[in-house]
Amino acid sequence: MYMQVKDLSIKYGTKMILKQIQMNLQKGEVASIIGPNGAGKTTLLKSMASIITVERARIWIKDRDIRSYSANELAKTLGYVPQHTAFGYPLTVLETVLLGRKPYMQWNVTAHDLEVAGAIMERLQLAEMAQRYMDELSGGERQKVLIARALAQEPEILLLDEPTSALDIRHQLEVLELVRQLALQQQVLVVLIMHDLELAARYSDRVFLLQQGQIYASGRPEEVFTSANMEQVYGVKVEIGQGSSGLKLTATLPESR
Amino acid sequence: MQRPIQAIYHGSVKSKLLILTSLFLLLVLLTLYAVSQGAVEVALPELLAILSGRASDEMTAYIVYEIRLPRMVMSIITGVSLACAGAIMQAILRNPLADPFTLGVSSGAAFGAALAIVAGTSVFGINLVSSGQWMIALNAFVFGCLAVGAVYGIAKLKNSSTTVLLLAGVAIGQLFSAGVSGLKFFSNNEALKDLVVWLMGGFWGAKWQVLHILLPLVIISLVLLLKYAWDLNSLCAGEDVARTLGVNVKQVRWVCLLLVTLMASVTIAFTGIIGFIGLVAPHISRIIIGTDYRFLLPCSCLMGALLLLLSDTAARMVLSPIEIPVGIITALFGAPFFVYLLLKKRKDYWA
Amino acid sequence: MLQKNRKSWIGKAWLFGLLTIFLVVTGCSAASPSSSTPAEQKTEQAVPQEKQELAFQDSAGTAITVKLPVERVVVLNRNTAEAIKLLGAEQYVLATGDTTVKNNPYLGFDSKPDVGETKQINLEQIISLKPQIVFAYTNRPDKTLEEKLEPAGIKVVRMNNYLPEQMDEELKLLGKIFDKSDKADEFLAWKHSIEKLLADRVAGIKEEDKKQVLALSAGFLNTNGGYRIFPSQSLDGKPGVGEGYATILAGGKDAADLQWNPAEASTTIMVDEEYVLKRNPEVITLHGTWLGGYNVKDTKPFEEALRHIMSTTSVSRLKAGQSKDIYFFYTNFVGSDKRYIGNLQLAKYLYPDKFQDIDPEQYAKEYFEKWLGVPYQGIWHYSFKDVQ
Repeated sequence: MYMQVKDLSIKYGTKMILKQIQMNLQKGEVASIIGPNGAGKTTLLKSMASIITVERARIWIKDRDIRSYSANELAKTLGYVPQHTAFGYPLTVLETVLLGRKPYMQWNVTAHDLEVAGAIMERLQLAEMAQRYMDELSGGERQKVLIARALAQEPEILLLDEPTSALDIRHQLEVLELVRQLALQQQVLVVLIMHDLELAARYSDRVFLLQQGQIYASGRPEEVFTSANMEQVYGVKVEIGQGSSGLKLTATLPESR
Repeated sequence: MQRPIQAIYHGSVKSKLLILTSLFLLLVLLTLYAVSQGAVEVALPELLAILSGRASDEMTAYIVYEIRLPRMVMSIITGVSLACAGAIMQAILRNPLADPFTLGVSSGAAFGAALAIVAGTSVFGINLVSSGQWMIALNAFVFGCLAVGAVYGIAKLKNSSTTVLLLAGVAIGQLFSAGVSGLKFFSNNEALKDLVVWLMGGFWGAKWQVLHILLPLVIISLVLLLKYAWDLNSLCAGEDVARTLGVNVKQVRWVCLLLVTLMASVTIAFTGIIGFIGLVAPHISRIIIGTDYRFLLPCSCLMGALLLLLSDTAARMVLSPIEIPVGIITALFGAPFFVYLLLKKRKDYWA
Repeated sequence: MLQKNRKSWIGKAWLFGLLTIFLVVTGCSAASPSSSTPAEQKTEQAVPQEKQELAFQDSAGTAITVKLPVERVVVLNRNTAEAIKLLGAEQYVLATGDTTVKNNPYLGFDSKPDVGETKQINLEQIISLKPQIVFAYTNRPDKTLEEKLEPAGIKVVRMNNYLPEQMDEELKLLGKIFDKSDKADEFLAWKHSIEKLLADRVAGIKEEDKKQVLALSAGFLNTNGGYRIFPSQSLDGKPGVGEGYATILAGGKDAADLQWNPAEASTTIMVDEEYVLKRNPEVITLHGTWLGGYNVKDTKPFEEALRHIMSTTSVSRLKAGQSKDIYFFYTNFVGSDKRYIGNLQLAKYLYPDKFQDIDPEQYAKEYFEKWLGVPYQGIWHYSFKDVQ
């Protein structure tokens, strides 16, 4: 098993946020976490990134408890792209991507660091805007820079919190395509939180459907996206069909019938 | 294909180093100018003769070596530590308006110094002010920490928003200022009532003895802080991200906050409260050199030194030989700048 | 409709309430003078003299009329308190203020109430004492004093009793108020004789022989507060601050060339250290109230302060520092109401040869013992010349 979540429960005060989550994730797969607002998706992802510290040995990477990793070691293994991009004082695009080299750097930026950052920027077509400041970019460009930063960590695991939420359809597709390529070509494990169910279905190898902190269903997209599951978890009626590029979901409110 | 990125990077590093070098040269020139100016006129050839140790007039040499130079160095060091403190606080608290003054460190340190003077003189006699300087500085540090701890604690309780942090800073600052006034009022030692160093900042008392310890302290802190440059850059990207980049957020926060509080409070113990430098210098530096702390930090320090040396020179020169408190000068350009920042603040930075 | 009705009803109630309050207030204020008049009449009846009034202008330029005799006063100004004691009218003082009890302990007012320092005067206490006059400095406290006391029938008379150009006139006025004019004239004659003695001796000193003197705040210098100078002249060309002007009266030259702005609250001007070094005075006079005074006997603090100043400031670099021509004066002795004696002492320090036959101590002793009627004691000035 590459990454495992074993019986993870998280409580804030008396409120259970996550209940007995079990996940077994493979190298090179794209896994989506879906579910309604407040289901605990972000908490789950943050625990997996060790941003939220879990009390016991619940999360394992390569058969090692995540808590036994040093901060730098983990940073070299796992990249995280947050949902809200509050970026304080704006750095330039190049500086932001170089931040991803932080676990490898002392004080100086080495030629190798620049090589890695350069290659990633070329690949994401960010090289032209290297000197521009983050606050001058469009939402889509910014999202790509943040992914580039995570990639500069050369991670084996990439966690993304709603990477497509602020983007137009073209950028959404670009980002998801990129993520799939990473999984396919570099055997990176990608875990995404997704809101768009059709896109989740199209790009994921596996889907985890969360409801009130519990995994309600998991498996291949066509196993999870069933009318019964959707109605139970989201409270909507969903017609599921087969489109040219994947599943087609048409949702309606139950009372509008 | 990697060439262009490397070229861009090295180009930007070069231009930043150029900026730093020019600022440094500017500081050297300003220092030379400031040393040659004062109530006593010292012509350039004479100045050079004095600096090279071939003084013709003993009194002029004394003035240059024992009065002007320590004063210049003191204002430079104070500028450096206040600006550095401001730059670091703005990063770790993610608040563009944070500086030693707005966070109450200045008032806390001033209160600590005042308390040490009042309590100390009753035990050790009035001459403590010059002999017990290090006790005073230590106490200033303790109370500076207390102030920043209280402000930070209050802000933490209330979701760390920019506004809460500043308001807490104002409240704690007021509390300690009131404490200073109270000490002044209730101290029954007549000699202490004249003590101005309490609240009004200035460099007239600058001495080499103080600088011999202040200088290494500030330089060591600065070097330690520079080591955290990448961590500070990461923090600018958000706490969560910083964590996943391998930053020990808690440790960086506390170490940096402690170091800058140390720098700021110890200098304040000797100079009194000087506002706005910690706010203005980092912001101007950000505009000219960007946000990368490897360059921003030295740039802020140089900028702070330049601004404060300039202000102090103005304070000495405007009504010479009458001195005006340097705080008046810094407030003159600092307060409008503060308002400008308030109005201009881009919301999305600090969501 | 209902709501509107209710609103207008509330409005009416408000109006009624306000009216009631107004009536009560005016009723009270109308009643208060009448309630205080009997008390005044009573004191007047007790003295079977015919009603006399004294009209004058005080030092703040206010025209005031008081009914004589004046037998109940509160003094917020310790210089005036001393002048009243000087005239032998201290029995009429009901209470003092400022720092009279603390700084002028020899006046014997410590058994009487202290109405507080200038900034926090207890007005209620003053009114309850029912004085005829309250004496205060011309510049403090502010006009609140008049606003609160005059409606209660208490006159506020402002005078300073320490400024050179005013204090003679002020003493004469006090003489009239307390019916002690003879004593006032007698004292002024004594005072003028000392002033004349000094002026005569000093007149002979040639300009080039005059010593360069710098008058500094002792407290600031001692606590690392920088050089603060008492200027000998004002912006308008008039004499400057008392401590600085003493230099001129004692036949010295001001080593500084600063002018004091009388509108300024502070009596000192802070200068660049270099300026002092450049001016390089031959003599330094230090002034303050934290060393010396009536109850002080020990000279050790003086020696300590000098050693401290010498070791921490650049005074040791100055001519005055090297020859130890440094003299400390208690503020009141040279810059205030005992100026004529202090100036004589300063002149003797500056030109010992010219004043060999004169002992200023004798005048000080006479002042305390003959005029104030208290034992002479304390340290009022100190020479650092012989301190090791």
